[in-house]
Amino acid sequence: MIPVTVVQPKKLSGVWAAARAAKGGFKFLAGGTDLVINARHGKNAHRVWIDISGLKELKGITEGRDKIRIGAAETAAAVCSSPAVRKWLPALAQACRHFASPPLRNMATLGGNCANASPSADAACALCAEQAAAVISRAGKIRRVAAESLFLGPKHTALSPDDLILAFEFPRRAHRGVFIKLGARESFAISKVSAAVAAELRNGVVCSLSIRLGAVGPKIVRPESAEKLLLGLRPGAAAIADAARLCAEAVSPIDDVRSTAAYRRDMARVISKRALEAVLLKTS
Amino acid sequence: MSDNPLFCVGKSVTRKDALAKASGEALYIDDYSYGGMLHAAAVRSPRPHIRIKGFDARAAEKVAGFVMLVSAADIPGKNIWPVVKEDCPFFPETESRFQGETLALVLAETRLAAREAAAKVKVLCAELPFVEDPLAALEKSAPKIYGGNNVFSSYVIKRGDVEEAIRSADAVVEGVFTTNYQVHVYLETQGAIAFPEAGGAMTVYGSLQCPYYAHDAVAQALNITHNKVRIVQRVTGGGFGGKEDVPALVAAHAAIAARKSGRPVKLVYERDEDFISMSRRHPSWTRMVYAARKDGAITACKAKYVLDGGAYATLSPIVLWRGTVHAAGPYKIENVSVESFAAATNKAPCGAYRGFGQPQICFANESLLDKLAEKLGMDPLELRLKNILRPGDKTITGQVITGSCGLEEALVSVREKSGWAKRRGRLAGEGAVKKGLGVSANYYGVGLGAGGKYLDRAGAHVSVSKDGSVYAAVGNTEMGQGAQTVLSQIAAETLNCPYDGVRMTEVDTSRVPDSGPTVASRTTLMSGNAVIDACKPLRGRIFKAARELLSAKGAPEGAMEASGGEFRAGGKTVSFSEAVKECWAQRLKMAEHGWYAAPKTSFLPENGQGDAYVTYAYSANVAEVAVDTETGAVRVEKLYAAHDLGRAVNPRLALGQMHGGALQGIGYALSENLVYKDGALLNPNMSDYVLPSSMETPEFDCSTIERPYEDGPYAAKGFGETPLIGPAPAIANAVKDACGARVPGLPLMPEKVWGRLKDKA
Amino acid sequence: MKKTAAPMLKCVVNGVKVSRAIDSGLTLSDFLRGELHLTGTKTGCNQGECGACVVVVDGKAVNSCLYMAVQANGKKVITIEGLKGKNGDPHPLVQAFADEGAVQCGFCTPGMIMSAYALLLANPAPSRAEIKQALSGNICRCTGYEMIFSAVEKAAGLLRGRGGK
Repeated sequence: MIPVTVVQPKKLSGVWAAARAAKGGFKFLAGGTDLVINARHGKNAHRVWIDISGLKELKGITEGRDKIRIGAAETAAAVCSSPAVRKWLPALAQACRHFASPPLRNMATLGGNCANASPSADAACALCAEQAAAVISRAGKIRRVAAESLFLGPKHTALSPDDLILAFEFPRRAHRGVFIKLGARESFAISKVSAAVAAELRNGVVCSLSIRLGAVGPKIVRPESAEKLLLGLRPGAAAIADAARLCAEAVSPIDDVRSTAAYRRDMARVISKRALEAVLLKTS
Repeated sequence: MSDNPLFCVGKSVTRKDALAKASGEALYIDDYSYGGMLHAAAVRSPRPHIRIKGFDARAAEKVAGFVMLVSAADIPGKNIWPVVKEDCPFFPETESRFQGETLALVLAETRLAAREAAAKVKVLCAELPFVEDPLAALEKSAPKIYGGNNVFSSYVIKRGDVEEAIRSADAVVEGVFTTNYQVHVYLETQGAIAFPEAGGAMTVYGSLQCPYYAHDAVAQALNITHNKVRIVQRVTGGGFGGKEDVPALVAAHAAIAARKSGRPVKLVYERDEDFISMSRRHPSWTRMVYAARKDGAITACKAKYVLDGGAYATLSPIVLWRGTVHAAGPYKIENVSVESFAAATNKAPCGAYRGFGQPQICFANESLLDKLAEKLGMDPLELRLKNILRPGDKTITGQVITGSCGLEEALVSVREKSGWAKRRGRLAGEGAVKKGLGVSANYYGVGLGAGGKYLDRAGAHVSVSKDGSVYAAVGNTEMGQGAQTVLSQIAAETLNCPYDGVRMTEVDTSRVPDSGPTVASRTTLMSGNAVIDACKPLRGRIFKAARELLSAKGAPEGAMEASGGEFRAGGKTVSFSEAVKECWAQRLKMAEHGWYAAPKTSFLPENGQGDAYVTYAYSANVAEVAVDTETGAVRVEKLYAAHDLGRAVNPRLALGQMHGGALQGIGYALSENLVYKDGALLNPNMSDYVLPSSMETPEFDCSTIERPYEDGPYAAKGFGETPLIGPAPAIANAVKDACGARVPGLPLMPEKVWGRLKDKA
Repeated sequence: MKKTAAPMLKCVVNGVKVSRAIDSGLTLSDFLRGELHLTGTKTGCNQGECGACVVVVDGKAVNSCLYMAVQANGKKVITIEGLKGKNGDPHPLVQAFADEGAVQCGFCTPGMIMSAYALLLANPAPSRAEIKQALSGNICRCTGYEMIFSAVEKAAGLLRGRGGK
């Protein structure tokens, strides 16, 4: 039992009316996997939750001519089992496959993982590597921003309380991608370090590359110097090792209950190296 | 007991409670609710050490459904929880000694209201200096929280001349080893429901291992006689020691609240409360020395063993005692000096956890033994074989080992199954992943031994109805380990009744006298013997009636075959229920009480010599691990284990104990890491206290060695704790074999293995 | 904020239509246990970390402790009590768990079986690796999992033998 009132608008347009009616403030309820836990620990100042998990405007995974669109209320399980995501967004598919546990994957949504803005959020890390744009609506007014720009710090986003992420859009482009995480367990673990890499190669030459590292800074880390080092190269093991070292230099990890800063920094190197090798050295 | 071959004991019959549990029918404590029932929620201490000045409940009282606050002033009886040293109050009055300690309870009409109101009670307090580290607690300058020296208890074992043996040894190794907490994380949290009864009596239902501990506690808290207290266990969702002592506190809290309110009170813990305030395995610090001759014969063992007891003594003295007795490992050693201490710190009290003080010291001694093998240039498994206890040898307390000792067979078994001789040091890895094998041996004193001998007795009540169904009641509990099944098998075997005809339910203290705790792997032995004692006279009557019926059917006089619930002679058959019907027709007594008291044990405090336990279970483990040398992550790929348990009453259940115990041992070895900072627990949850999941379970190759124990029921001895003890040192030794890193502290987190490998590089 | 009228929850639980006004703050586990008295669904942590509360909603395993009851509107919920074979016999998964030694304390068992049930709905012939993966959100502290894997394999075989249900 949670001391909250859940309202369930039937359509997206009903969301804004419900938001206006909630005088004491509200939260959007999607998968509930963070919201309900926080509420149980007394971290819920809002007595109204607006359930957006069933809205069809936030559902669907579609493959357009130049875009892939994933509704923000799609679950991690739906995302990783989608053939379109597997084909066009390999790092995201892998992140969602390694996300939490099987029942949590059936609940947790892509939008929720993003809006909760944990630095160790696996799907959010992959979204950034996959160059996602977030489609956001406030009172029906729609804007598009780079998903990455939403993250300001641990659990802190650029979203205002009445900003609702409707969907994520990705350029449709053939590329390689991988997501690797290091947690305390092989499965069902919060990342100590994670790495998402997406790359396009032409004749073995890297022509686009995005590397993102999770759980090693207040927000998801982009090691730009490592990306730059490899761009335009036909990379071998040595170049990848150099890039991995730059990745380790780019992070600012902390000591906490899950790991130590020193370990995380070195693992940023090891995991980046493995991710880059998987993406750049594999023969396809 | 019987000349006939056993038909039920030794068979893997299906558990009595399996279908009820798998179908969701089984009712656990939180599945019950009653009219008029109130819900209780705890007000907990915010800091590790405070002086309590009072409570401000004004905000709490405004929560809809708030009923009352219950605290120390509401205790009708003596405000001391009766356990060992009697130093822990039910509710602290002026001083609280650990963060999370229950200071008071809020009662409300709903669980949510109780929790909301409890969160709004302000504890008015002043902070006091606190001590977190057990070694620091033993320093003169430490704040004193127990006696004048923060020592809950201390033991010595002295045998031979250790210093001389070390001086004259060919090889001496020394090491300091540490282990961290381990939390039981039984899937069902603590809980109880108390009902005030007429005439000042009190009945409590609870999830617990030791109903008679709760019985003592409720009587003392309410200041009522024992015959006015009834404790009824409910289906219990795991214990592992965690529901040994602390449920008595939970039951007493519910009972105090029920007394004050005059209404039934339910108190069920949330997971974080369970983590913060309930018992756990003691962290440990050990400095140990082994000395040996060139040929590998161990000549001396010297150890100092310190346990972090937490804020109250609770079970620390007994946990420490068991660890002390087993400190040198299962080896014959002439010269021994062990000194041990349980220190008081301002953290939640540590208590019983499967293994009970042994896994800590076993990690130390079995890690150090590998170091000794390395120094001697010997194979570590062969070094163990050279020194292990065999029948006729003496333990470090001077106890002579009896014939029920299969440690040699156990070691040989894991050596052969693991391909030790050909594979150790030679396993191929891949890339950054290196593989290795490691071994450990251990033994476990069955039952309470000299440390708790006054409690080492058990009762049973067996009643045979006129329809041939049998009801057996005992005083030891089913908590998942399979007690009801094993004891039903023993009853069926002894009475020659069909296994399906025996029914047992959870323990009710009004049915069977105080049978001691359900701990120390003692239930099969103690309650099993008590069941046999109750069944014997019934068996005599039933067998006599069966013989008479066979004769009446025309069977020739003389031998009668009794097996599988049937009696047979001369081609004639009488069923168990026919024989029972005849007994009832003859108006015979068809219900009996049974009793069993453990044989004598002893322990001299001045030198630690004596027959510490009635018998021992033995085991050997070989772990096969893969170490990622870049990340330090360790994975157990295969675990080989062999256990001497006297006799497996139910081989499948025994195997279940081996698998489950081993996986808890693997969690202890690798990932279970409770973190305190400044006296506050940082990870009271199952995300950051990391248990092995289905993905971490290795391939198991476990087997039993049956060296019959003549005083055991059908030659069985208890062994449920042994499987947890050996894996951690076997894994640490395997990690060393795989990558050269010796990590002397549990758990072997990747961070530590990585750190060692970096230091080596 | 004034309380609006209690919302209606309309769903199908174990094949039975349910329609009632509820407090919208109830989680699905609260609703099943407290309102429908289906106490076979357990709660071990109330934060999605143990899996004891797993039930199946529209064919998918979910943690009912984090799933708000009103979110089950219009959906089909199956709990351990709904797993019955023909003539009310135990479902092959339930029977296999009992027979194979997959049950000790039993507290994780209903959730474990529901995760296995969801797996077999999607994949009637899972490999052992797939079973391990599918059960990785259900913690068992007693058994070491080995006998649980065997039970799921056995039940899968039985179910295939009789063509699904």
